[in-house]
Amino acid sequence: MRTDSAVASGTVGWGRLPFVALISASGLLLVAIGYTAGRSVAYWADPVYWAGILMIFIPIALRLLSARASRQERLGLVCIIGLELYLVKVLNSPSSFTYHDELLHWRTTFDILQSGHLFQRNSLLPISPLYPGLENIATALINLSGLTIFDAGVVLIGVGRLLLVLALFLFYEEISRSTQVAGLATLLYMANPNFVYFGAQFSYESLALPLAALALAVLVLRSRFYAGSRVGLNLVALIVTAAIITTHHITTYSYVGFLIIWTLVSLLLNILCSFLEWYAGKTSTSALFRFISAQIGQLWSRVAGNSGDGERAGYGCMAPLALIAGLTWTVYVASLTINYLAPNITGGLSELFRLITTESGGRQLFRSATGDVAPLWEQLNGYAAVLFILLWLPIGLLQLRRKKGLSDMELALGAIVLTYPATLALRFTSQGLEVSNRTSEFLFVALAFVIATGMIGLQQRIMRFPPRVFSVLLVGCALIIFTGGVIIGWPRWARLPGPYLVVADTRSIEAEGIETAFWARTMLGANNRIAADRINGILMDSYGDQNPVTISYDNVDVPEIFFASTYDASVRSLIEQGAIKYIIVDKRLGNGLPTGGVYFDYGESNAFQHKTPISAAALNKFDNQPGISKVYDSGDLAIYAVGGTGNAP
Amino acid sequence: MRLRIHLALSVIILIAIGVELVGAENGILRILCGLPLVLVLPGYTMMSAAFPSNKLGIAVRLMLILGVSFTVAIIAGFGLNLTPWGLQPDTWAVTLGCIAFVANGIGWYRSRNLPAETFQLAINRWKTLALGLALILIIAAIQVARVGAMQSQQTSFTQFWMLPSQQQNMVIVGVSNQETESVQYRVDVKVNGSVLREWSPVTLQVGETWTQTIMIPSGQNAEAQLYRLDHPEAVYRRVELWREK
Repeated sequence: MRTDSAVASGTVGWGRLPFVALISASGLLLVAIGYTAGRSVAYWADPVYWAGILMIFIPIALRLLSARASRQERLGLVCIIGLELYLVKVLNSPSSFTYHDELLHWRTTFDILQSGHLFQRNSLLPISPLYPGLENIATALINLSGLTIFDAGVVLIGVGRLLLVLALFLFYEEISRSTQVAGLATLLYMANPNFVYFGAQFSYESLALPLAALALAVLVLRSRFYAGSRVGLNLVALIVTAAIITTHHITTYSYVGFLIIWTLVSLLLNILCSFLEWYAGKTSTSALFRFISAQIGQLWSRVAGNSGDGERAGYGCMAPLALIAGLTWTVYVASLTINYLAPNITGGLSELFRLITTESGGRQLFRSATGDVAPLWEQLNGYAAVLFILLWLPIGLLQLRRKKGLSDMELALGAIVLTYPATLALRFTSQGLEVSNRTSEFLFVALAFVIATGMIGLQQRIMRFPPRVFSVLLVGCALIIFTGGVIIGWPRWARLPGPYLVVADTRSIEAEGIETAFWARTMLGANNRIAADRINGILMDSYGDQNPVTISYDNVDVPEIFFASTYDASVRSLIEQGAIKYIIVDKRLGNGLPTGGVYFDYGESNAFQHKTPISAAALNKFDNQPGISKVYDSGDLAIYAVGGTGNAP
Repeated sequence: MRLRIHLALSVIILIAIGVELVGAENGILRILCGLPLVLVLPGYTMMSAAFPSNKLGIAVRLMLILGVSFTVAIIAGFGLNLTPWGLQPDTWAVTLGCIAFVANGIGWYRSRNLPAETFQLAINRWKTLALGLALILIIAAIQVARVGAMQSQQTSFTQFWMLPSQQQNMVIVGVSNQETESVQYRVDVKVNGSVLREWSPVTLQVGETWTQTIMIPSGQNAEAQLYRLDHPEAVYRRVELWREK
């Protein structure tokens, strides 16, 4: 039985949704105006942008916290805000991909379209073709609708966003038996630092996450239906699991990990309860062993745990099945995954260890690689967001503990949130930051639920405050957590569009680099081995159809080719070692420090610690060199043909 | 009633397959056929086949329709990869279309004795107006962002290049105007410091490209310089080909 008072009172229909949607849509328009102002560096761009964000969030949050909204209205509201926040990212760059990872997946998609087959080579992200779920759907869309890769990607990830929001709402609703908790938890999930920007890009994780949410929703929904439907839902869960495993590695491991935790919590709890009964003399020893065997037997005997008697469906064998399938894919198809993920994890942990033992100073928060410091209000908001999460967690856990009929899934979510403080520590390290960032969208599935449970529980218990005042306070808390997530999750220089910045991903991808890449494809032919910085490397790899040589995958110290102040024997040796045919030099690299911390690659010398820009002498050293032809000049960009040690190509 | 719905779906699926196989030029038609064929039809028909009695509720069904459509496309892609034809428009159309068609048939068979589904959307005119206005605001936001992005992309550079031609001792010199206005250029090609050939004025509109092929004596290095006639004293762009042994 749902405890939602709105349902109990018979409130149905769309309620205030249309009017709330109107206010929220006005916020999106303000964001678009803020973006346009940002391109011309207007001083009012940032305030207008944030005003838009607040207008999108606040009306919907207020309505979701209200006890009067119907289930239909809550569902509609979370879909609206989910899609609007997706458009916040799309409107940042509405005509082409500008995120680094998007261009990597653009290349994988392009290769499949050209060849008609999967598993083509991607020199900048070799792991991408081994998880082709995203590109499978993208190529189907492109082939059948005639859309460009960009347009198909926008549609695909947008539909994925809708799926994510729906699945999360239904998941939370089923386990909490409350549409109010479901709506608020789904809203709070959007406060995870990656939701607005990183998780909305054309990338494999952006598709895998909705699929994982779908699988979880299906697994918990099984208990509501009779046996026939349950078989259908089990099949859906199995095939969606297969889709997740072939789409993204980290999502697979997080999903499998979640299933294992759920299974262990359920299994241990059931065994513990049975043991206590045996200890109290209520059951015999043989009955105890039979029970334990039956519980363990569920792990491989049936996909759905309990039979159709109205009880919540148990774990069944989903966890071992998913684990075996995930490991099989990793070992036999995508063995590169281990080498790809391990350095980030070990590097982050090692840096954390050095930080704890005071061997190193750690990363300065709210400070970019170029020394820019975030405004005070952003820093305070960021700290406040984390503090509020840490404050609401024990309140939420307490509310869960008081709840009658607590399910295994709720217990599992409660256990998962206990890992949150540990992930915060990684934020103090440069390499661990990436790991901490990537865990947030998975961890927030649990965090959002526990916090929402705490907020709604407290709202129902606190009688001293007028309900509306307390709702406003709760919205304030939710707002701080949400805006803190936006601030923490995406660097300030990338939130709004603007003029060119040195190696700043979205702020560095512009017309000259794109046109140079197109020129290279047309005039130089495809698949030449080239050396370039991070930005021009990704443009050449995608639009240029070239083959960038890198430290990570070719073991060639490409950055030193550029850092060296003279064209000497060491540079010639690196060029020969990499069999490099063309070098792309961007003169703008000498204008400043790399905004993102690196000019070329995370493995370059002085990564995240550059003190001076690359010298003009270093950037110009290829001019007038015997044996090197300067074949292209567009002002900021030059292309040198260095193939071989002698003549022009 | 259910028969009519399933028949209509069958016709839609066949039309969509037909449009794709014929290779229709009409962009709107392809979008109208292609998007549902990937994002909706496989999931809808499979859910109708698996859950004919529709006790799942609209929200759950919508979630399953989208999710299963995604999953079917992912798995179908792997299947197509194993075939010699691979992932092509025709193979996608036939695969996804057949899956939807067969599932639709199963769905009709399983639901043939069930009462027809009914669906009501109750919303008054003020709420409809508010939703309509919200949609207009969203479209306006998209347009503002797109126009802003296009205007800021006013490029201001010129591309200049020199590459060896396929023919022996011939090189290609090229200029492309990516400035914000029409520009007049002068192109000099030098060998051993002396001007071998000059073109002036080379007038290019925005987006226009000029190329010339020129013979360079065997084994000689060539240098090309580009000047803007509004600033004739400064070398605007410079390229060179090293051809000495």
